[in-house]
Amino acid sequence: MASEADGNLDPTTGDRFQCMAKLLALVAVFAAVSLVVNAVGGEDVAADSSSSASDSSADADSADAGVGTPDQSLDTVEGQFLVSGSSTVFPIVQRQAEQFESLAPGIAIAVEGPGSGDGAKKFCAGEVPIANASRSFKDEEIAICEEAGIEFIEIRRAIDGISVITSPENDAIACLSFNDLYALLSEEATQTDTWSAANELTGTWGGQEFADIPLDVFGPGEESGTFDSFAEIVIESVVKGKTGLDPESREFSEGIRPDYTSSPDDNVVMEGIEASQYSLGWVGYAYAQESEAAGRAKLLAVSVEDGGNCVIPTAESIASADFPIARFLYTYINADAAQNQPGVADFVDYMMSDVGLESVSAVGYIDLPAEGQAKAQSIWADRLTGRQYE
Amino acid sequence: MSVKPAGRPDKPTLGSLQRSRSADVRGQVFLGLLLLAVTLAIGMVFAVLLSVIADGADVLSSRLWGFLSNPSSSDPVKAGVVQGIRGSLLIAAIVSVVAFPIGIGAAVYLEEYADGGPVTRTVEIAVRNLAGVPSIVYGLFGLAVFVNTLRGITGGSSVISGGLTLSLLVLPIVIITASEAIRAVPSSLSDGAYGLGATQWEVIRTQTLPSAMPGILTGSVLSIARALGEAAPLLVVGAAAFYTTGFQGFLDQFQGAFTALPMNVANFAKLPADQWAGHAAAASVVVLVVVFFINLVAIVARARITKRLGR
Repeated sequence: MASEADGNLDPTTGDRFQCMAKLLALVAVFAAVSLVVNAVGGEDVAADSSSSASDSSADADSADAGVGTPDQSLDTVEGQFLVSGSSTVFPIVQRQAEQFESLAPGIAIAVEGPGSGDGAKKFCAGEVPIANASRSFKDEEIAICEEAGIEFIEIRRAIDGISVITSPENDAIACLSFNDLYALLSEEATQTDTWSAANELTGTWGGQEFADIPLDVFGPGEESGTFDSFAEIVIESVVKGKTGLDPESREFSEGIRPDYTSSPDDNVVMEGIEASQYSLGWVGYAYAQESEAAGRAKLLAVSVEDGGNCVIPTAESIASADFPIARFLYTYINADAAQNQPGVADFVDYMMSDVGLESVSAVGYIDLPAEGQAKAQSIWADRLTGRQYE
Repeated sequence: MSVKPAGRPDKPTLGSLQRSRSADVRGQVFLGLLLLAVTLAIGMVFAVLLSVIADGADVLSSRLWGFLSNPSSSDPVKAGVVQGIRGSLLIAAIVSVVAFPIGIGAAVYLEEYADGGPVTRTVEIAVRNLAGVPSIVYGLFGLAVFVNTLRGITGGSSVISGGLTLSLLVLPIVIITASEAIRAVPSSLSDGAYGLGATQWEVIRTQTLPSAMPGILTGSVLSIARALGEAAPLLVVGAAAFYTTGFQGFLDQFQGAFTALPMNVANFAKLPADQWAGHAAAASVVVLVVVFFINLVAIVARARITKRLGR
């Protein structure tokens, strides 16, 4: 009866649901294609990992021999977890997770880099078993972890230098002391747009005299660990009198000037530096080094005190702590997850192994010196919880 | 005044035509501005296309298949967008399954059944306003509801959460476009069907919906294109910057870590420019091709339906 009615009403008898069918077909196509794509992707992952395994068979061997690498095969271990935390540490962990996949194809690892603070929040809420930080956890973060009953294992991963940079065309400046940086970049320098404006400050302590050239400042934004570290290492050193100035002699401000071009994206910072001849800025060493190698930026030498030892950031000078603006990168591991969550301990073992540690320098960071490495290894091996570094 | 008499002759003489042209300076200026607007609009589209294609050409020409079939990687030579393609297609499927039936159903109800009273009007206004809510707000909602509250079903930050969030995002657009398509169906069609004694359900099924289908399809597919281009909500919902897949079961494919093409673009763009310059542009080209393909499907489907209906 229904079909009779349709026949009377619809000039396109039999096609009445064709339109709907089209829509459904579209959906089916999407679903099918995405599953096929997934299958292809899966294949390729396998192909990729096998090729990279054969590429680096020597690496794999040394991984087996590496410190802390477990004896049993990882082929059958299954697990999945998320690594969160610092965007600075992200590239190291990404590379390690990628290479770990060929050793332990069953362990699915997702890596994100929302920032050290966000990572700490998630870690202390028990949402992630591993969090990275470009500084050690703050006391209040540790308090939250303790309140939630989360025990953490703290290890140092690498060293990251913060480079002070300018345009390669800027011949006027070669070396800056912490005091110069204070005069150019602290809150007291707010509203100044020439290098020579800093002379008023440097003059009070008899520091460097700058030429009358325009000053364009670029740097990471407040959300960035690089911002925090720069303020902590450079500005606070001046304020606390570690740079040869008497902190009682005058009133020093603690912050960084708010009126500079900031971006969370290091590429944007670098572009600003390149575009302006008399630019000044700071970014992580890994980024600065690449730009310098491409001839697009100039790394400035830095000294702590006026007239002190000017040091250019290099892998060696950062590792030996001769270069004064450097920080340690940390990883925090949930002690309970390390014991009970499949794959977590295996991945940390890999991160700490010789072949895993190659990723540190491969993405542009500086390896810990041997004794620092040994300390991290032993903290992890003994599963020591709580703060381990001062 | 005498220039434009009401009862003006049908064929103006050449002289009067020229005179009206030269007198109509404002009209000519207006036409010029319109042409400028069209040129600028088209010029920008081409500028965007050319710049991404030019920037991505290196990557696309040297390793097209690898770029399309490899997962994300820290190695510029290995990095690819297969995970993004997979995520985007799954999101398109989820949006199709969730947003289309709900949106079209709501539109049919609002246009054909609702009484047009204050409640209906309020709903309509609400829907229109929802269409203008910034996408990041939907992301926050998705984080609160799909990722956190419904974690047991969605698996947390998964492609299900992302797909549902984007379904919500495009739902108002689907409702509005479908409503307008249904409203555009001549009332003579349904009146005639009613006159022949058809019930409301029969009229909607056999007359209104098929006639409105080209418009509904266009709106729906444009909304998929919108969903595929969104990165902000996915960022909040927690698209992974990098992940490996492990031995995934069937459910894990939907509940595990995910990413989408716009996220690939954003992630590539953040990497050091020297080695990664072309990747973001190349991924952008992939997004454009996918969206273009979907639009093409919509246009073809629409043409065929229109032809079949003989309109």
